[in-house]
Amino acid sequence: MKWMSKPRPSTWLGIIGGGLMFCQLILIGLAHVQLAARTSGQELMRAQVQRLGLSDICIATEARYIRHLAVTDQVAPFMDHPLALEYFPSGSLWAPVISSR
Amino acid sequence: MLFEPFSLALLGAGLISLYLVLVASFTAVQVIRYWDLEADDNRQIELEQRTWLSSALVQGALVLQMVSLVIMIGAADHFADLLSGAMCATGALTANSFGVPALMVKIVTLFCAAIWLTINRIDLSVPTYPLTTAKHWLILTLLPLICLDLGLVTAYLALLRPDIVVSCCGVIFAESTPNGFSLIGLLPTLPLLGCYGALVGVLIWLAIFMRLKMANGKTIGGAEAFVAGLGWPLFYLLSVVVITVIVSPYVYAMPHHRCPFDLLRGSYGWIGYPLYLSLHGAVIAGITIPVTWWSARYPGAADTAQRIQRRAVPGAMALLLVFLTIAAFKPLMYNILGGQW
Amino acid sequence: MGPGYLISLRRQRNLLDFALGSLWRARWKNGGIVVVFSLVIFIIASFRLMVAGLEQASTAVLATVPDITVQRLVAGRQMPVPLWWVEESGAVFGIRSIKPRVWGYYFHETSGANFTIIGVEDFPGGEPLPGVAMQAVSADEQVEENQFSPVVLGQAVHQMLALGDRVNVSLFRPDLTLKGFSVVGLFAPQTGLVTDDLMVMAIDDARDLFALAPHNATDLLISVPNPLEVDTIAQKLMAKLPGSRVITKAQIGKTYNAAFGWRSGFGMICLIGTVAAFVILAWDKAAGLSPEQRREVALLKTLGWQTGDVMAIRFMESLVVCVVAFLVGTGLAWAHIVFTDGFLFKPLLLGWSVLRPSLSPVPVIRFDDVLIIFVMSVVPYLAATIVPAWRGAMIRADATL
Repeated sequence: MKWMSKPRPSTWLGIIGGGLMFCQLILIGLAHVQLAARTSGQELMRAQVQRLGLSDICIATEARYIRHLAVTDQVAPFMDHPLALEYFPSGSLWAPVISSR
Repeated sequence: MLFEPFSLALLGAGLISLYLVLVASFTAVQVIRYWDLEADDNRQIELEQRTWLSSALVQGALVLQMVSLVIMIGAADHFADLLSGAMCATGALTANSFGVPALMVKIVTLFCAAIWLTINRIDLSVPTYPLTTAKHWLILTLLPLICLDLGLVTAYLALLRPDIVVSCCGVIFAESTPNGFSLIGLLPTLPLLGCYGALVGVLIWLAIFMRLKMANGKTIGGAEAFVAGLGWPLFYLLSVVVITVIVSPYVYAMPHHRCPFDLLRGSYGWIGYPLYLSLHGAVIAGITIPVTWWSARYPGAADTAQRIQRRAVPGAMALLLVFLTIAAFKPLMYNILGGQW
Repeated sequence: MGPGYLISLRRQRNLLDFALGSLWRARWKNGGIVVVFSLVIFIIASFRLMVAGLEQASTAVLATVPDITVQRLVAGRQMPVPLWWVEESGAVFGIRSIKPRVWGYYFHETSGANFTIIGVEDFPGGEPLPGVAMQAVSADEQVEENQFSPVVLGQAVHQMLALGDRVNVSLFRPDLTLKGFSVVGLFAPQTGLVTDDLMVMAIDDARDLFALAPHNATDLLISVPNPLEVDTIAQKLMAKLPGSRVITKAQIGKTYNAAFGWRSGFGMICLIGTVAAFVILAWDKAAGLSPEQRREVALLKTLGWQTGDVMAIRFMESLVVCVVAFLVGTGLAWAHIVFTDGFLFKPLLLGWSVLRPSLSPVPVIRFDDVLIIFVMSVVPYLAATIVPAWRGAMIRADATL
């Protein structure tokens, strides 16, 4: 029979699945290489945070209450006038939840 | 804290398993009402087809419940970083009164799942499907369990309040000294270990007894099944207590840190995974004994039931020994070498 | 033949071969599902991994934030802290050091960017700034422009100001007079996550730039050697200093964790719509059986297959689709984050920021994250295909042939 000489479909699946798994592992490996390269920077950053008393990481700089999330006033988005609506795009993703406390 | 990836995964898993079991329960009601193997009308043929659906659905739901048990532990571990006063997963689970019950319901579901899967396997191996009605009754008892689980998990997550900087001040006036450090208080060690040792002795003796009986071609009787059915769940409960109170402080090298969950952390060498896997495996194999004894009384089911028994008894023993070895390793090393190393 | 488990293993492999064959026969339909499913998983996984990466980086970096930060609130708004608070808090037992600090934002008109200005005591002398190669300002420059104050810039600020090789920069005071600075150093590029928008200067220069009264500071940084005492000391400070807002280290960490978790959850809720749409597609595709497929099932039934066997085939098909799509989707997500720094989601996080920090959100792989992605994508798909698979499998032998 002809199809008997060909590899079985499950063999193909194994090859493809194994290949994908391998690619995935390579990518994860690359990610961790990047991470390892960053650890020296992390030591420095920790020292800087300590030296300067920083409280936040620098991601979105568009609004002052988003740049320093941890020490900001919770009323800051309404600082311009009492009915001011939050209009910065990152505010919708970055403004912290106000606890019910 | 419903807006957390962990919460969403837990709720998603809960909702999907509820959907699966709910669809299966419709079949279950019909099977319980109309199942009649002798009949060959359309309804019976339809029902026979439907039992395949319900068993596939319930199998899916039960596997999903096991996954969600793992997520629950991971979530509690993660939430410990967000809650005030929570040092580890115990603190996160005891942060409100729904956490520990939710976990318990999940564990009970796990064992029910094992029982159901065993019965299903025996049932499908016999052409007359002798256990079908019983199996579907069990689905109907699973349904409230899954509902309860979803309700408790939802209540637990919804009532969790993360500890964040609030607008007026950054200090919480509530008690924030580390509590939730130990799940169970100090218990007298010697009586506890004595009871535990006696129970393990009974279980081992029972296993040898059953093994000899089976080697002589006899079947396991009701008395042995009864002892196993009582002993193994008791063993599970006592094991959790012993791990928490006696074993875990040796692993953490801190006498006051009694937490059964931190054992799963990488900083303690993931010792919890082999420990809990072998414990649950042993208990599941153990409770299979009464389940198979009960199933064997149905016509035609005896063969498969006994085949499962012949594997379950030594399997439970092997896993029990693995579990005891892992559990005893750290405390013994500490006491023999006289110190942490 | 052989032992029982080998027979059953062989049986499973034969079933798998059969399932693959039937997948292959409908390769365009199934290929389409794999592509769409991979995309769905890619989006979910990218989002989760990216937020996890930022969360991990912030946790690692913010481990050394000040034990206690003291601010002053008047009518719910932050006001300068009077320096007598320093002596007042010095009386609380258990404090190692109290550092007043002036900081604020500077809007740079030309570029439209917001900089963060930090004025610290003992600068540029005292303890050196970590990760900064301080360049000595050349002697002749210092002689002729000795009114210029030293400043250390973050990399992104340096680019924004388009300084090139020049070292001198002037900033406006509130009354629009100019204050000159000379750049004495740049923060190392690999520390961009915390320093990209910083301008660090001496506390007096910052006061001068912001026109702040000399006895004022923005906040006080308090260092407490014993972590167990932080909360007690914080409460004592609140009682001693009227109108103060006291923030502890633990609170900053928990705020960040909660904020990241909330954000990630919010994003996932938005993505649930995608998953739902996909699940409907999957249900629809699985439910619609072609006449050939119906005939095939009927034929298998006459050959003695049971409904459960046909369902096993369908389950294996779904599983193969899931596994392939999961591997492709998460692989693409890792590539997205490793090679492009997550360019699809970056605009969401940055918004209209003019100064765009160079962040690379690579996470450490965690079992939990993989499990979450799995439960949010693969599980709904598998659950949705059970009922259609059964419908397709319960066709009776006599019905179609």
